[in-house]
Amino acid sequence: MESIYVLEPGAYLRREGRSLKVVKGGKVIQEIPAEGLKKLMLVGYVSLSGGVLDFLIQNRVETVFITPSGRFRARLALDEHRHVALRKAQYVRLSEPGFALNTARIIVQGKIGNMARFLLLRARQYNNEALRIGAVKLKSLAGAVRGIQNLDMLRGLEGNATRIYFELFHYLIRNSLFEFHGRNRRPPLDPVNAMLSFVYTLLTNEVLSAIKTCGLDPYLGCLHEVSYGRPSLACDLVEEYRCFLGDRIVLGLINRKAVTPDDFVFRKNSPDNYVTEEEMKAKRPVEMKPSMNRVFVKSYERVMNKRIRYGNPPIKTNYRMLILHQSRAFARYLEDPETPYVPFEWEA
Amino acid sequence: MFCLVCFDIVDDRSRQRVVKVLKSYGERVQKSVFECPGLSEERFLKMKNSLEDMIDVSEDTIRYYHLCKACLRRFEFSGIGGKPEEGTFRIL
Repeated sequence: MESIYVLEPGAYLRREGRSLKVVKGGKVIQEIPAEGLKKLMLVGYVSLSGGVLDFLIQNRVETVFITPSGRFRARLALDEHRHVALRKAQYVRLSEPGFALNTARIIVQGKIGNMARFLLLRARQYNNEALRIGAVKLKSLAGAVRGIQNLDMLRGLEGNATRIYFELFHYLIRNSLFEFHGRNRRPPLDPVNAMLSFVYTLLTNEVLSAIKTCGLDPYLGCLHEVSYGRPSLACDLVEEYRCFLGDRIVLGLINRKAVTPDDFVFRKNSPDNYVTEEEMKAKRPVEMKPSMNRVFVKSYERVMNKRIRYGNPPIKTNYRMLILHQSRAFARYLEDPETPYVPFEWEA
Repeated sequence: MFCLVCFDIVDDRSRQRVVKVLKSYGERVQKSVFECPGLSEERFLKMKNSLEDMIDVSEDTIRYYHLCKACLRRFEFSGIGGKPEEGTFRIL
């Protein structure tokens, strides 16, 4: 087993040899072979025994705790990567304003390019003029990135592109049970936004793990400002995958009718503004039901393990490994700017 | 790759040891049959080596069958049980 997700509330993990026993209410409900385990996601109220912790530490398993709604809570911090020279290169290079701006440009261009290609593809499939126009707009914005001279303007342009994209997003939903009236977050107000937020959390964690695996510091990026506790490099590098991995997973679930509005819990009259983070968590206007959570994670994993060809010369890999390859490419670019970093260009 | 492991082991103690190792690689589908999904070449050899150290080669036997995706699709069964777990991930 390479990754295990534990969504069962109140489950307790025990170790037996190199396999994990899941105990609930004093009964063993499952045994999972843990040989080759790389990632453990613990969702909500789950506990572990000392033996399991020992196993996770010994085998350097990426252990992440998230809330049932998909917000990041914590991760098991294994010791820092040994590659100091690389981190030093990252701090030095990303502190040069010119280099940072250029890197941010590359990232934004990659992101907008993927959004444009995705809209164009769907425009052809659905024969929709509005999507085609949107794709053309985004293409021209991607072209305009090169001429931008400071970071704030670049962030503005990226916001603009994202707005155009989400204004058209409802054309991509082919299921009359779901409506979309624009992107909202913290907290998401409707099922589609809740699903988007959830999948972005999973993706950002995926990228964060990849970044840590190569030995970069996830907290210093270039496009997202450095702020306490935000893994800004992970936020930067996740941009290129948001659209063709995250959005496609969500749209796939909706359009194939794998989810219905009944899979969500709605709370009436939740307040318009929240005093604290805690209150926001307690009074979320919309939340996924546990069964829906499972369906969601399953399709996420299926996509991450999907076989693709990547690079030049092409190698056979999957999306999860692709993210790792891309982070390594980014690390090489930081050590030697002569090797350019190219965001992954998604082609259907 | 997907590997089906079957064993016949005379001595109780070494059988328990073998079962413990196999449990870390796959799922026990019958008393002496394990299904191990998603094994890499490396992990398979590691498993095989550690099992060989535990058995008495003069009287015990372990057999490994590698099954491809097409074979797995043609899987059928009677009685209790379910389809073989294939993926490299598990959701609880």
